[in-house]
Amino acid sequence: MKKTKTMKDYVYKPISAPRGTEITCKGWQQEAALRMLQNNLDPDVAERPEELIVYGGSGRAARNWECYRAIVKSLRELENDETLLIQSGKPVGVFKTFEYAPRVLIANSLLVPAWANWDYFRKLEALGLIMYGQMTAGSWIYIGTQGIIQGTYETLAVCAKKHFGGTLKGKWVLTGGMGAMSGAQPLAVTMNEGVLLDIEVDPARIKRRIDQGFCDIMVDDLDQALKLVFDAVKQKKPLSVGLVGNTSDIEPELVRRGIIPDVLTDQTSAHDELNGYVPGGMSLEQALHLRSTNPEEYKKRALESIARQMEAMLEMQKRGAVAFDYGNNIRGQAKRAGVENPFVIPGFVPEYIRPLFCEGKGPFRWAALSGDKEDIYKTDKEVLKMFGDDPAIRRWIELAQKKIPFQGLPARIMWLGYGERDKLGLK
Amino acid sequence: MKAPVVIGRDHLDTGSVASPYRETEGMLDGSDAIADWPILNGLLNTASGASWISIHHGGGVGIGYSIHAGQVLVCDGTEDMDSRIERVLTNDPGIGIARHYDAGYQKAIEIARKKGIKIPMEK
Repeated sequence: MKKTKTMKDYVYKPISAPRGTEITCKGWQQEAALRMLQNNLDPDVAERPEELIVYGGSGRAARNWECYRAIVKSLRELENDETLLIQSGKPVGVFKTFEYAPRVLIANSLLVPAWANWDYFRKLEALGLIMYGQMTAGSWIYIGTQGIIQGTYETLAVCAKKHFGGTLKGKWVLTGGMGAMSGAQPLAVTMNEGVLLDIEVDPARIKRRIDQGFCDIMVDDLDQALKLVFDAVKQKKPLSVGLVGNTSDIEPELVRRGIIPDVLTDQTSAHDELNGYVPGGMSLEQALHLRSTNPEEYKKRALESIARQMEAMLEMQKRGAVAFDYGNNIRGQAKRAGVENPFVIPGFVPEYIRPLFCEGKGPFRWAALSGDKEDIYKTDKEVLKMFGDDPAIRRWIELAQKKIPFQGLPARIMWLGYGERDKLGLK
Repeated sequence: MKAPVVIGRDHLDTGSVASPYRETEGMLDGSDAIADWPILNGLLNTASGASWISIHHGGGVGIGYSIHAGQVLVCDGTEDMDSRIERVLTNDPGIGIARHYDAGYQKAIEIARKKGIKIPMEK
């Protein structure tokens, strides 16, 4: 039997997409797929490129290194009237189709429903039969954190339109978490002209966002944080404050003091009570120690803390805060922990995104295969020409140019609807 | 432009995802877990001529909880590609309107009428 090579048989070398106009495939359609696959694995773009992991836990661009190499080879050899099939990150066939048919068809991670659970998936993954593709990892169109920032920006922009006349100017938002996803919140709030108090237990995470220019200030004292927030609200100046602390300690304290935010949400890792959420009433070091020495006790304390936080959130909502769940399942976890009705806090999709979906509006992104930033700036200009009378779009493009660095191939993202996407696409 | 631009999107979009704990939470008609829509989305974009199409399971909320589809277009400036871009970028959000129309959302019904999207069993 032929020995299958494992990941260890290859020495990892960083990958990035070629730039410029010279191509190694038989057409731009194939070359584009190749460059976007490689761009997904650019160390500037991917979370753990040496393991082919792009983002979102274990979302991969190819099943293993042997498959990656085979995909590259297949794309280079692919004729202009052939279609390559990818099954969970592995190239499995090339068929003659039409020149105007797709060059690549991809199916990732699909299981027959009765078998569709993590345990079974992990078994198949260990056998090398399947790959977790997340959403844009295995489909070769991930563009880094710009996508996350834009999604958060858009949600808050709709919230501002619905409740505050289109801007968060002079309003303050209370939230938790400043990790990979939640770290988009500071910039998304200030881009909507609002003030943010973001509670994060790990100062290193706040520091990283400050270094990137996403967050403005870090403090570890609640009184000082509140003073900064209220001064900025009074002056109607955008500001993001990262407060080192635990949401389950600080949010009940705010309720005790009668301090209620205008907008309330949460992006702590509440969905994972062992490896994500950090229980309150102890230091981060103590919590990490407890996590490794007594995971059962840790989980119990984390769920108790989630319940405490949720009770505070519900009280703030009762007293007038515009509250919504941002998809971290904190409501489901609080329910497990005995909170009676956390679902009076609505989810962000039904509350803000579904009205956009009804109009055919959704995220729309593009990347310049040349690698030249100027190509994206040219498209920015087109966007402003076509949709510049929409203040949210104008603000997004102008601030994205200033505040969001490109990762890998230069790219831009925004939300556009039916009748808008095709118009811009044809430009 | 010095070289072609690719246009694509997240699988989190209007007509391309079934995810009852996130994107399709609390649908008006209770169709939260119906995954016919993302499959139709992938097939429609294939028929419309996207450059590559993907159908995935488990993104965002994990295995067992979502099915979703994506598309990418390579804008190489050819006339053939332009006609494909026009179709994909119209039909891809179009199926989203059809999906929300079918679920009974008034806004989607209005938009479909205004834009002349053909819905066989009109409400």
